[in-house]
Amino acid sequence: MSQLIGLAYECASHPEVEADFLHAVCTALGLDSATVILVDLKQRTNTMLSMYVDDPGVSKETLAALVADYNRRFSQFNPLTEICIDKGLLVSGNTIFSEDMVPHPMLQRTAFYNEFFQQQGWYDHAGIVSIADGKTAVTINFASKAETYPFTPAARKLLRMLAGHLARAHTLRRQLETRRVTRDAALQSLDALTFGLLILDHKRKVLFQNRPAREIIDSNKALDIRRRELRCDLPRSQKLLKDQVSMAIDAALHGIPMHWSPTQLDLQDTGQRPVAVCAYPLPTSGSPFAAAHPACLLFLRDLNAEQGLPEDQLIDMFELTPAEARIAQEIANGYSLEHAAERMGHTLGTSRTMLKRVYAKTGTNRQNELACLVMSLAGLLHPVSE
Amino acid sequence: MHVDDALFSRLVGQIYQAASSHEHGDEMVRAITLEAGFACGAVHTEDRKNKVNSVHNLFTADGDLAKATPGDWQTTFNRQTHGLQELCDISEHKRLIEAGHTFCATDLAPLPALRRTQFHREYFQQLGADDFICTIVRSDDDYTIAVCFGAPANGRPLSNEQQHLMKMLAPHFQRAYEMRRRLDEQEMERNSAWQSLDSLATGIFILAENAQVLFQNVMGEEILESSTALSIHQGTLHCRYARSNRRIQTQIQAAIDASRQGADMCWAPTELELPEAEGTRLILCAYPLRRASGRSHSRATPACMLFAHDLTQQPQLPRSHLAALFQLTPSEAAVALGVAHGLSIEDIAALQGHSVATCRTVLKRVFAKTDTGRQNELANLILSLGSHIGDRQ
Repeated sequence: MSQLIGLAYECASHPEVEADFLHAVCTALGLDSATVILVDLKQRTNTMLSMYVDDPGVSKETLAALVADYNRRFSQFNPLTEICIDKGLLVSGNTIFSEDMVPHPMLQRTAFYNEFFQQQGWYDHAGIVSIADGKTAVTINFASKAETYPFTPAARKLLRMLAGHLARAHTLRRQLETRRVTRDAALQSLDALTFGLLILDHKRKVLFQNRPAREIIDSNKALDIRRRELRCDLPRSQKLLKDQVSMAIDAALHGIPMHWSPTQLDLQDTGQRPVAVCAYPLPTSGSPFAAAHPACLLFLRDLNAEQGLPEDQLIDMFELTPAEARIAQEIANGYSLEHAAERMGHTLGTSRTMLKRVYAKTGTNRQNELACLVMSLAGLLHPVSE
Repeated sequence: MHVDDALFSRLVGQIYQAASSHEHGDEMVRAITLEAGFACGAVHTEDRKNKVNSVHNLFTADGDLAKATPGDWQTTFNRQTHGLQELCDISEHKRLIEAGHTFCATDLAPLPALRRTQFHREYFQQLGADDFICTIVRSDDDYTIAVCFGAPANGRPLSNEQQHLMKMLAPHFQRAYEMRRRLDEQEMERNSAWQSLDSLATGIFILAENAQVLFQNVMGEEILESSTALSIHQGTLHCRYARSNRRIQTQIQAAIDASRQGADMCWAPTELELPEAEGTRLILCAYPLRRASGRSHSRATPACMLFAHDLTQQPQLPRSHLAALFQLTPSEAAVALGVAHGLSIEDIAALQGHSVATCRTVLKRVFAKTDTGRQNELANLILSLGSHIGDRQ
């Protein structure tokens, strides 16, 4: 009993144990098979999601074929679905026995019974509505081959008892999945940003790093994530990094306002631009139920990386020619016109004429103004997919 | 008390209900205390690092005792937290503090000895309890969480039935705790991602498969508020100019389709055609979001992320940050920002009330400190710091 209820809830966080749960119910009640059916209340259609048969001789492939066959033949045509909807039986936590729908002798005369139920050797069935929200309903149905009172009073009592748990388990499953997908979507959006971003917990462990952060860490030999902590090999920079992060975490944990400011990490001595880091505190809820508390956002920027807008984007947006887009990008990336002309194999005069056309098409007047326009667009338009 | 299937099923239901909604914790403790004949019950947490004990969801079966508010009991409890620490330390010493473990007061020490402890006298006995039983649901370096129930002070220890019931409930307490932990962690991670998005100077909208807006960041809200062109109508984004609206909807739909098919999308930003009177130049771009694998029971599946950028908004870079990064003086930072915003030296000089020549001298010092040599190079450096370094909190 305790195990059966436990399994019902276990399915909420681990859907793969569904078969174990259905098996346990069938064994406890002496039933032969179970199906999970999703009903679309608006379209009045139903889809079989999974099927379990209490017979180790039936292979997974056979079951999958049976499910596909049912969905092909009965998804639009299952009179039982219609009856359940009309009689208002599809209520979360409700248990439906076949006589709730139609007297058994009549059920046996229906085409659906002959063409599907009998084919499986089923005699009677009962269903539990695990969730119903006005648009869809999910039912878990059990079938029996025994002709004599397959659903004894004890079995009925047990099914009714399980119904409440299944409804609650399904609500939990929905909560878990909704939080997971909204979290994943929010984290995915962070991958599209042009700068590195890490979410750290109250022990400085990395909970999440976006794609640019991974790229910056991978491309800098001095930066490394060891035992889930961002570290810098150069002692001075490591100290700066640690101070930034600790200050933000302290501010988060104790709810004190923080005077934060970005700092530079010198990672090489080759005269290249450094990496800028800035840590922000995240207010923590302090829930003892969570093992890790996000406590700090760490922004990383590699000041060496070229951040201009891709050329094809420039062409699309401002109707530039490929050569004009190239020159706009060189200027935005901070290079001189001489450098751009040389790289493109043009004379300085040609490049200057081209730049003038770029000014006209983008509505700018100066090199720094053009850089400002292209750079602020670049922050917006970072490609998500490689 | 007789534990039959129906009672057991009811109590287990309460436990999982509390995992699903935080507010149900009180009701769970109340139901178990009353139905199993305990004197009181509570969820007890120990912050192990700081050695701080606290009590939640406290319930007492005695109506007179219950008149004291939970806050009063919390205060009494906190006064005794030192005394309780003794018990915690004994439990730990006896290796009773282990997730999933259920133990009684008598596992710690004989009852007469326990009754002599300060905690028992001044807190436990005040609650009308004597013997008690605990189930540990979490135990690691940070926290111990235990669900505790006390037996009425009638001279008898806990009944076998009560002990049996708690042992039967233990795996359910643990599973329910595990679910609650996952819910809380996912929510916190989502909130921190949202906060990151809120710190951006670009509007971001996350849309579901049916194009409903699931999330908008602070800048997204500002764009909606500052312009009449773009609005949320029945949960979806709309532009009041028909041609531009068609463009937006096509972009969004393409991204949603790409997400559904798991395909990469050839995305392109689009500028809305707005009359000049609107005073904004909006650029929109939709990206598909990767779909989670497996059949989702979630109500709304996020499918598309939409960036909205107002070209008339200058990127915001607080001067103090710039000064901190490159050790600039305030006037140097002002000139550097002017250059980054695309202004000419003449404009900057006029804004600062300096002569053009002074401005040029200041700019030279900025070049030296930032290791740049040209205005566009300086603009690139500052803008690559990103407009996110704007304090939006």
